[in-house]
Amino acid sequence: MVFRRYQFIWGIFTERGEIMTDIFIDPTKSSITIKVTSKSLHAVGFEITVFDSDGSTVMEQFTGNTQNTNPYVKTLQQSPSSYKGKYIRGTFTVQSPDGTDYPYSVIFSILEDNIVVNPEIPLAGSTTNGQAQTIAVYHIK
Amino acid sequence: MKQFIVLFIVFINFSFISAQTDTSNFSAGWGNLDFAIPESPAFKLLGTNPDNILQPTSVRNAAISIGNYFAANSNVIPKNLAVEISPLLLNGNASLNDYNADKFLYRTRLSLGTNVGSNGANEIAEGIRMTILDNTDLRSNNDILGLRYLDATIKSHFLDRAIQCYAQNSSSKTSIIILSDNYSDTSNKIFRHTIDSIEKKLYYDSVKTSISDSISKFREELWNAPIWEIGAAALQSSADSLIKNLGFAKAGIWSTFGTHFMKKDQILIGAKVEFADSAKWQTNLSIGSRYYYGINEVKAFAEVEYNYINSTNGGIGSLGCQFNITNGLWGQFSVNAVIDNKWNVSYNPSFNIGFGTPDKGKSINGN
Repeated sequence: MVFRRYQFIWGIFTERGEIMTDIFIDPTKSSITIKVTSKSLHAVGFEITVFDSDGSTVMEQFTGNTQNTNPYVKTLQQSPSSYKGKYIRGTFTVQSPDGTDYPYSVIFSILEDNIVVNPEIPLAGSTTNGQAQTIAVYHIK
Repeated sequence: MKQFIVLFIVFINFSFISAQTDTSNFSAGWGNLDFAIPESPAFKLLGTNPDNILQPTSVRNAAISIGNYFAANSNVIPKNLAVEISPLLLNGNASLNDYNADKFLYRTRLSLGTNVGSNGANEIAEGIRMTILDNTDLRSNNDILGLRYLDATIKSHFLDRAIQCYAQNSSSKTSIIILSDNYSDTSNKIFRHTIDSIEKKLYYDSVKTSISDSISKFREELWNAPIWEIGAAALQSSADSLIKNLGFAKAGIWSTFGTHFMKKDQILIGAKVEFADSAKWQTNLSIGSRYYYGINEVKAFAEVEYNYINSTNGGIGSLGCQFNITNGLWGQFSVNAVIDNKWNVSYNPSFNIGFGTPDKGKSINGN
């Protein structure tokens, strides 16, 4: 796909390598589940969006956080085979309780029939003014 | 002058170490809550300060106390030093959920201190501190955590909305997935800044106020909230530097409760029981109260204390101040009047320095 190799921003084409995490699923499994795990002393909030293969049409979307359950898990509405070629994107916001800065760690995972499918996406860094935002994308194959 | 140079070097080294650990996984995962550096039980039992009230403070991953630095004759190396750590906070994978499920264990701290006594004896003290109640701890404050999780969730939604807005107004027809990936490329600063600006506008247009601003008010108001701690320590002493000659010298148990009457004050009520191995066993008792007035960064205090030591009555009256020198570095100066059983009053100044894991950024904003 063209957009996997090139980007067009501010009127300039630039070449990039792999831009998202490919993940291979078994279409014969019965369910596909999203898992978000907080591994640091931060409040983690997120929005998960499933995009169609054009990269822009929204199929499913939900928000959540790790306040009551860590890890947070939610099973998607359709069978795994329906998600072949689609994109699962997570927008994440981490905040330290007191607004200070220290390293955060969040793991974004996909499960099939409650078993983790590799690779998981580790999100790590340090907050600035008590907050950090990041995005991770899976391309389902 | 030598003292200032050594102090400066220690501070620089400490800042350097902190800067290093901030980027490592080992140190991940806890807020620092830059309230005062706690006096550890081991430090307290070394007796570098004559008062017996153990100041309670929210747990940090590590803290260092240096006692009577300027009062301790002309030696360049300070004679009194103690380190306090929270073993469970050294687990870099601990989440807020883990912390709140086992608050008592996470707040339990171990301390180790050394001292060279006035008679030249080497002393080693080991201590443990447990927190029964800590309403100053933002990591376990349900109101603050609720706001934080809500804010993080809302901002994640508005980050998505910002990218959508950019895509709709862009002539390049770039897909949202590509734009999302560009945002995750941290080297793409101009694009990130553009999306962040759109997100901020969407956020404030919708939420109208910054939830983070509300949280910063909580932080200023909570330094003097109710807190209750218990500590214990044991001290061994040796006439020389040989470990085999170390012998049990004394042990102490403390309990301190802190609360406030007004926004800018804090009162501590504390008690200490000490068992000392002297010519015969002594049981000493101290009960006292310390009153702080000020704000988190600078506060003055006054203290009165009754002591029952070696079957005689005595007391201590103190005046002093505690101040935040810079991020993670605290100082405490006090002048103590020690009254013995014959009503003789001796004067004893003390100056202690505390190092704790610094905050990299103390301000909170709605970015």
